[in-house]
Amino acid sequence: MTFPHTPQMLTGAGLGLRTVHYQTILDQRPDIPWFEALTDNYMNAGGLPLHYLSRIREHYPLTFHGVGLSLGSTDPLDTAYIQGLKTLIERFNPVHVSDHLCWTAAHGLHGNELFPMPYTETAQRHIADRIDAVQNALGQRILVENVSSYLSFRESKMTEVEFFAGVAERADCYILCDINNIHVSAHNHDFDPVTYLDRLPADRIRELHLAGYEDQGEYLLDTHGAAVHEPVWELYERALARFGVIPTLIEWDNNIPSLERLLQEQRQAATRMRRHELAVLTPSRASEGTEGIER
Amino acid sequence: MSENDLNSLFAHFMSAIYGRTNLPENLLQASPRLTAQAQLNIYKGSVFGNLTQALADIYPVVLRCVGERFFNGMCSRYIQQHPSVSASLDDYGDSFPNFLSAFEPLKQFDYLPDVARLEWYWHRAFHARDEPVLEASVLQSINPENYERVLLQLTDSLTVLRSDYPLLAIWRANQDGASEERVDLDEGGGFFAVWRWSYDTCIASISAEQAFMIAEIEHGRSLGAIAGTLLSKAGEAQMMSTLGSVFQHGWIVGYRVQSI
Repeated sequence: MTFPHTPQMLTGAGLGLRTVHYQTILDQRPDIPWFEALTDNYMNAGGLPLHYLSRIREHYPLTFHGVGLSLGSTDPLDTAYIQGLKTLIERFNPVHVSDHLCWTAAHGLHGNELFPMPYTETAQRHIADRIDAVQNALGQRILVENVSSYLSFRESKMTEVEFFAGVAERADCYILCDINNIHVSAHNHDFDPVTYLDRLPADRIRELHLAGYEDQGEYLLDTHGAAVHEPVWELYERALARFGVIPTLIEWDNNIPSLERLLQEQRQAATRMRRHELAVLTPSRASEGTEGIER
Repeated sequence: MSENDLNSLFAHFMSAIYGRTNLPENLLQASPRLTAQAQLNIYKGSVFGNLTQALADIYPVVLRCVGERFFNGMCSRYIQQHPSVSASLDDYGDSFPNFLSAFEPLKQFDYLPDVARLEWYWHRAFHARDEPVLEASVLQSINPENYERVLLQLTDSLTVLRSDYPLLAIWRANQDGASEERVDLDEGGGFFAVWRWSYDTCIASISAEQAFMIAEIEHGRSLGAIAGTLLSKAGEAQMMSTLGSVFQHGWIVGYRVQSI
């Protein structure tokens, strides 16, 4: 089944909604164009998290970002999970619904972790057909995000970006391009992150993610526990130049700082987006460089 | 690679994650910086770390009672024996109280499994569905002659626990900002109720009569029948106060009148 391509409805730089900030957001109503809710935190029958989400939804558009669809798994699709997601979508009407290019469960055991796929044609067909099935069940396109990875399966026969682009094409889904994850995986697997960006199908990109990682010496670990690193900002600039000004999210899940600190990070992304917008409108200014960017 | 190969690859990897089998040699491609085992270990650390964090979030009092180092070690054992079987981390850890009962190093801490049960019920109540509480005044609209046909409905969030230990005192003593006062384990136990009233998750020590009434409602006994039993067992004053209290605590969310 195919779905009409929806117009881009989100604009600007959003923030990941975290429980510690619920009350501050309601009290201060910060000038943020949208928030991203981690869907899996709201899949319960009721209670305070859903109550707060409802109150925040009264003032802000939302996107839904999940980790539980296990799109690449060979276990049957979790129909109860999909139904729960559908119920949440009906209640909150999020602009985007996303999950990951990964698997999380096998033979009934769940890792509750985003495991990368083996990059083979079989796996590509398999995950694409499941994304299609999920889209049919939800009655809408979803966004699929590239994950950070720390392993390579021997079976892999193609690059991650070839795999990803093929999946998006076959499933006719949108792409959530996580810039930090590209940087982390490129470092861990010695590939060129710019080539990765260049090979993604630009017309399917609907959202960008930015976050911080930790350098573990032998590898970079995607912890979402720090500010966005400089090489990731640089890659982000390349992404804006290639894809246009795409709605961008700042994620920060561990060592969560104050909302004020997150807003500083959000303003950095917003400033870069505005500069690219300006560069498109007034091409002569495009070569002025990155001076004046808020740090 | 066939679909079967993909299925088998996932199964082997997940089995190695939970330490049930060794990592098959031909599964992962070592890189110049990371061996295949090192790659697996990064994911293993993340899986065990996430699940340990989920248990720490659900069982903060148990964590405080045993200390972080012991708790983390105990969780590793638990996670190996009880892998996650749900996409939701909120579902993880229901068998943790029973695991604690059988965990030899905790033999001297025999109150901990009940503390853990209390925390699990708190966790479930926190996420239970929202239900408006029924006011006791509704009963005034029912002809007392019909009480034999009135079935009360309890909030889904309510659970009653019987314990030999002073669970409420232990729970309170291990909340942030609690006084340093020591809990006397010999002060005895009783019945404890966990439920949610609006968005407040509550824990209370309750009387044997209240526990009896809740159990009777759960068993589908009518208001009239329950009142009759309470009257004969505990006298009119106790019956009246027990009936009133189940409403005052916000445990009743509805009723229906059975047809004759």
